[in-house]
Amino acid sequence: MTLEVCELSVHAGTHPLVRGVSFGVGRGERVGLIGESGSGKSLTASAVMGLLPEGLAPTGSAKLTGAELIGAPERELSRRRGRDLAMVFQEPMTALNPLMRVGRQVAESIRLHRGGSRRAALRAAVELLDAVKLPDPEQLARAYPHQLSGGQRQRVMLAIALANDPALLICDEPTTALDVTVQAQVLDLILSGVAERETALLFITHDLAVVAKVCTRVLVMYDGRIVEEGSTSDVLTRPSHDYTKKLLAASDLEAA
Amino acid sequence: MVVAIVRRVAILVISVLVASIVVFAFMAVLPGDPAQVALGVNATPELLAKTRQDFGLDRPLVEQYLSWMGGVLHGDFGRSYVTGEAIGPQLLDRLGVTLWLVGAGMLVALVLAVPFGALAAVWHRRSGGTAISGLSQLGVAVPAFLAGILLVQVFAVQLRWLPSGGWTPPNQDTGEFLRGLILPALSLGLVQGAVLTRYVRSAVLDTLGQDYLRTARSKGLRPYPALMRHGLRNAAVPVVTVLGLQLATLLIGAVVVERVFVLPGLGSMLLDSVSARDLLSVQGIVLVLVVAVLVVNFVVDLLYAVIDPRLRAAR
Amino acid sequence: MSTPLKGRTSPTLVVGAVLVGLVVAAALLSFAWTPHDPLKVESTARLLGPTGDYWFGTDKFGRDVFSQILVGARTTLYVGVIAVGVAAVVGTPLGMLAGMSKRWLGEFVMRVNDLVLAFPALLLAIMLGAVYGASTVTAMIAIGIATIPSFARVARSGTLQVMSTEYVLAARSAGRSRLWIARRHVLPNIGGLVIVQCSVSFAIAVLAEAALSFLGFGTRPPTPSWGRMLQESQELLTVHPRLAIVPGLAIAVAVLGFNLLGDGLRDRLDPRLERR
Repeated sequence: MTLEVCELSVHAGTHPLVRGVSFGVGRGERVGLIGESGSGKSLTASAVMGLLPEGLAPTGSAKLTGAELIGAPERELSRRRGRDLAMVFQEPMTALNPLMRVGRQVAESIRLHRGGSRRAALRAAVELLDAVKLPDPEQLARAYPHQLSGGQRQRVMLAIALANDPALLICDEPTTALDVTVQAQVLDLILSGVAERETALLFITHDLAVVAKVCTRVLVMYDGRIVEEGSTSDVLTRPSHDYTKKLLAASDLEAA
Repeated sequence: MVVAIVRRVAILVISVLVASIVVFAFMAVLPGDPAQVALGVNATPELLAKTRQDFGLDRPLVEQYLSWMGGVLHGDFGRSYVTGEAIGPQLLDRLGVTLWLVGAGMLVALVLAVPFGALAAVWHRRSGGTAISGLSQLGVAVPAFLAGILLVQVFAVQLRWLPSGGWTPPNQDTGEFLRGLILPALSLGLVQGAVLTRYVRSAVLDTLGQDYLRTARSKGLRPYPALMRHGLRNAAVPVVTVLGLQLATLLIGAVVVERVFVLPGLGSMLLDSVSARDLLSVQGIVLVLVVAVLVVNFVVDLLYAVIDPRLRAAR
Repeated sequence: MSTPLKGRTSPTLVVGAVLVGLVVAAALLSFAWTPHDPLKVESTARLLGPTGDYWFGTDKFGRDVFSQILVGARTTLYVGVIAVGVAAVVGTPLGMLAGMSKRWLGEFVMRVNDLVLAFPALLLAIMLGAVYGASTVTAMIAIGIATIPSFARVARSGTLQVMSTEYVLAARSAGRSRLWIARRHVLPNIGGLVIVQCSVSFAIAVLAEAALSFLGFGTRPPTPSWGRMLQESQELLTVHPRLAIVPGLAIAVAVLGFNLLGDGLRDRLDPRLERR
């Protein structure tokens, strides 16, 4: 079990935002976390990464390949982030530093964890950009984020995330802000990326069609709790919880 | 990009020309007769008329303006009506002094504002951050000349560590030059530093909330390195904008500080010329000061484009 | 956990209001009563320390410092009110015009704005002083003119924001005149920004007036002025530091008060405004 989450809770003062969430993601497994906005999906991911906003405190346990993440010292967490666990965020527009060239931002992730010269890291970065099927990767590495399209930026984010072959990849609504045509390409890249590396994937979304395409197992979250879980086909065709049924009814998904 | 630069240069040139016309027109409106001022009360009408002719004051205004500006563009600011000496060389000397003062003041301000402002932002929920904010509010409320007076009192009069005024050119005695520069630079810089601290704080605060910092953290960067590598340059953008405006304030603040420390700068030259009704000198000095501000703003505009690549593409 | 920003009275606002209130109260009080006549030269009472009769002591001419402070508050407020008033009344419509006009007109106005900015308040005051003889009036006008660009900038940026809202777009497509939109939509929405700018500019005006009086280009003697009190205190600083500290403190209180007031108003008036 690559990621083992046990009774994870996030509180804002006394107000609970995530309540006793427990689940696991195995090696190479692709697990989806669905629910509407406000259900606590993103907070769960942030808690695992150790990047909760100020004022929010996590309790419980989240073990990555056996080592505890919750409550671990920042020094240790920094070492693991980008190397053992990585995240792709929703907004490609703002996720990249507008003043730094794209290639350098990818290279930074490589140099942080593998060391080496700047030149070697940049070369590796260009290779990574090529792997995410970006056109003319050498030229693109010298570009600034505002010169790229949303889809291209998200691919760069993916390259950064997979740069050091992490054991766990968390994606938080990675394609929601993209055009439909571009979405499919990015999703394919995510799939091939994690398959190559046998990376465990935790995929957060509210879009049921995407979940159906990407994930083998699904967790349904509502009001900070996991209300249903099972294989994708089971949950989406034979939902047992009321909320899941409502979600399905509201979506355009037809029974497979 | 070239188009944008050319456009900015054109605007600068036009602004300088318009400013020169405004300054000239202002002085021309002045009641009183420079010839009278120069010669005194007992001058005969014939002498007055001849003097006016010597000064070129009987020519049409437009011609006077063109002749003056023509000279200025060659570095010739004319001769003072009162002292008869060439204005240009003295202006240059004095400008040098003022520039040293302003430069040193800005240095002090930055050295204070950047670390403290950044700290205040990072600690914005802790008491340390509030303390820095409070101090900077206090610093803003103190006029530069008051700071100067108090500094002189403490360091020059009581402790006798530093001179209370006067100026030594840098090439004459570097040690004395530096010693004489410390207190004036501090007076200017402490107050400006307080103002800048607040701007740095808000710029860094803005940056702290940005997504790309979260990305940097998720790569494995610790909080401070993430801020240094990704946040600083982004935070610099709004700060650089303010820097330009602040330079103008600093220039004028220098005028007052020069009085407190008896520095032979442009500011004191201006005040002396006004008291002596030396209009041509006043004209020249005001022009130089205004052009200095315009040039600084121009440079800041360019700097802006250098720092932020997004501004290089369009316009 | 979250407190609604709108309507929250922050300590900044309260402290600022109190300090400003102090200054206003001092000025108002001075009309009705001062412990002594601030102009009265009393050669027998020169350079006294604080006593029961002279609360802050006297200056080198034997004048009561406290009374001077009280009347000096009047000058400070006069200059501030007129300067900020002029700047707001001229600058705000200018900025609105720039925000509502076609590209080139707006650009042009802003360029002119930048040009005015190149003439800092002190410079203008010195120039005006050279022409008309320095006085409180020249100081007021000079500071006022120099402050116009700040208001124009703020008004323009606020106007640009309002112009892009749906309300305005709807009004424009319904054929409403510019003037109507300006009155009905722009003005009420930028009102908060302008008020905040008034407070901030007031603080700057106080500092400028103090500097001018210090240089001798502001209020003429014998009318009491905090800046000039500072200038007069210079030579006696070692023996009588209180002569500088008292007016210095007064200036600092006024400036701090207006700055805090501005910050507090900013927080309260509109949470969308920069939460600096």
